[in-house]
Amino acid sequence: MHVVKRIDFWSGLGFLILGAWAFMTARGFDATSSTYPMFLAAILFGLAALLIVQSVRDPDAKTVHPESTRILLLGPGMRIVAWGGWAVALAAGGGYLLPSIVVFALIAAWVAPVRKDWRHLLVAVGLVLVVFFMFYVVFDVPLPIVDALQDLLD
Amino acid sequence: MDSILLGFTTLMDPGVLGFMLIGIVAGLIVGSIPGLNDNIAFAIFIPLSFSLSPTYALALMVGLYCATAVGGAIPAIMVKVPGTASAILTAVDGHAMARNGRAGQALGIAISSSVFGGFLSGLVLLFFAPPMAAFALRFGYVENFSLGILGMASVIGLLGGSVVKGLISAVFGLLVATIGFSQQSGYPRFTYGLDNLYEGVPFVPLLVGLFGITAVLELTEELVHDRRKGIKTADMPRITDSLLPSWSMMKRLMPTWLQCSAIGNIIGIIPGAGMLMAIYMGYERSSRRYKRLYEGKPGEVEWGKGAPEGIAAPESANNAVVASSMVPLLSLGIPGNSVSALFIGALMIQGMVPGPLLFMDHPDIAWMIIVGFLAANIVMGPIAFLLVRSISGLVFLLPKHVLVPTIALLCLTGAYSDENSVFSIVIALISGTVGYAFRKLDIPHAPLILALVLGRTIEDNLSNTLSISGGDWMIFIDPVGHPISVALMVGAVLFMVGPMISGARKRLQARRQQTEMELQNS
Repeated sequence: MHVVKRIDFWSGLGFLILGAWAFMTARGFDATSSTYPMFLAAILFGLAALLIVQSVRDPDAKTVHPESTRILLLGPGMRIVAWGGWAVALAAGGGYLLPSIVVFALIAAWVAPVRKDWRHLLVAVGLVLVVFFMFYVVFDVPLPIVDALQDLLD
Repeated sequence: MDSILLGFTTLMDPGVLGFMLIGIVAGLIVGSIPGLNDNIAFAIFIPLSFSLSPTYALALMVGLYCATAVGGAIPAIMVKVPGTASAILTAVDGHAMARNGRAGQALGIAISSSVFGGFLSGLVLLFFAPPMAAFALRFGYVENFSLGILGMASVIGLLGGSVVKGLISAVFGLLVATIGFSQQSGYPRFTYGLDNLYEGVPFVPLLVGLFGITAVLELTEELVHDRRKGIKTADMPRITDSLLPSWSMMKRLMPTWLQCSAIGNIIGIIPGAGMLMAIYMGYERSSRRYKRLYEGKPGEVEWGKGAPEGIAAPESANNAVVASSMVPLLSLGIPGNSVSALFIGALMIQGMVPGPLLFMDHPDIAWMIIVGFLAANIVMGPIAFLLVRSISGLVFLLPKHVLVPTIALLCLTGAYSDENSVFSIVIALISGTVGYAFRKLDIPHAPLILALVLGRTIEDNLSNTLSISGGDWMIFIDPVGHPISVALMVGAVLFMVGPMISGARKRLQARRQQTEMELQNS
């Protein structure tokens, strides 16, 4: 089995780079504050190197499976992108309600047994309004809302 | 005695009791939905608890923690899908019993076993946490550092998997905990000019992401997998018999309850040992007893085919872990498992620090939590018996494709409410992604969480100790000046070395067997 197909090899490499990066960054801190993070970064680097060695030597190492990778990208990968877009819309002044409804409906439709169903939108509107009411009204959390709705609520 | 009365007085406030009941009902519901667990329940409710008074918020959390483990048994018995990981073994005998037309009996045994285990665990918390906290007040910087190391070592050592991965998880967590102003010099570390990071990575969004968003991503993966493979959910058996276990059944289960509750309590006190270890140990002990006393006799089924002890053992063991996992948290500030780590978030959001000082600074809260665990287990029994029929119907009421975005929306909106900032959402998303990646890479979460919780304290105690000792590291193993530290360090070494030696032994044994087989074949 080829080494590059082994999951631990890649995770080891990732932590190796992270350890090296953290070490180099910590070197730039003042003397009092740098020792501890540098020490941790060096340990992380060493452990990552050990993980790589173990993955190379282990004949039964877990490998990357193409179908699992596809599921990973289609499922969790798309969700992270969708919620990331939702956060950007919130930060850009898009308000809470509309981006939430759009993202909710899209996500629900994506994994539902029947994708093209208008009820997804209806469920999204209902549940987003419930969550909005719970946080904005009951718990008094100042969720970002567009000016027009703010005027309406005032 | 006065302290216990103080706890009861605080608990008897109608609002406090009300929120505890809300927590119990919510815990039963959340636990009964396959895929949701106590971690998700906490991830959703911690941000919500921000607007509540400390007593209300913590009563809610106590109820939630006690009830989720019970709720997890419902789908395990009805559809053989454990609602929480702690109900994984309940599914074996519980579902078999339900399929034999005794679903009510199986649920009744699960509830009564949980209540028994939980109540004993509450007593352990009551009798062990306060004296341990009083003892921990003697600890200085040296002992506190060693205690932190012992906590981390026990978590890594008891995981049972790769020690290297456990260590990577812990060191990564400690490194993340260094983000923000240095406590020694005030220098901003790894902040890249982001104001929101100067005080460190915001803790509540971090927890919400690590528990809530990670779970959402796992559920999504499961959904996509089932959709692609065309997997459908099985039919649910009906509850036709009585829920209440008979007196003779309770008498028969008493030894199992006592044995498994004792196992759960011991495991619960050890940081990192977790519920799964308790239920497996309890289940294994009970199987031996069942096979010796009952199997093969008239009217008795085979082990794993619906034996009452097969439900009673894991259920009493998992609930016995609940309150006992709060012993190290309340007395030493070290979480016993991931949910008690989330409890730290619930305390921190109310401006409190778990550990021995909690008993001095907020005795009403500390004792309310302790007494609350006892009360919650007493109250939970009748509520669970009353609601179990309706809750078991809830299992399939909300389709997962609606449930998953709802949890995500609740978690992310909850993360936002921590500082009313989109930055908190970003932190929750990043930590959720990291948590999910850790799951996929088989890197354990527990050391990461403990390191995030203890990271700052460990660094403070280390630097303070080294400045006292003039940079002498031998202070941690000075038997004259710091005997407690020496004992804690020895414990840490044993926790780390023990699994390594047992792993090496197993590998050696496997190699020997392989060589023998090869010799026989040739």
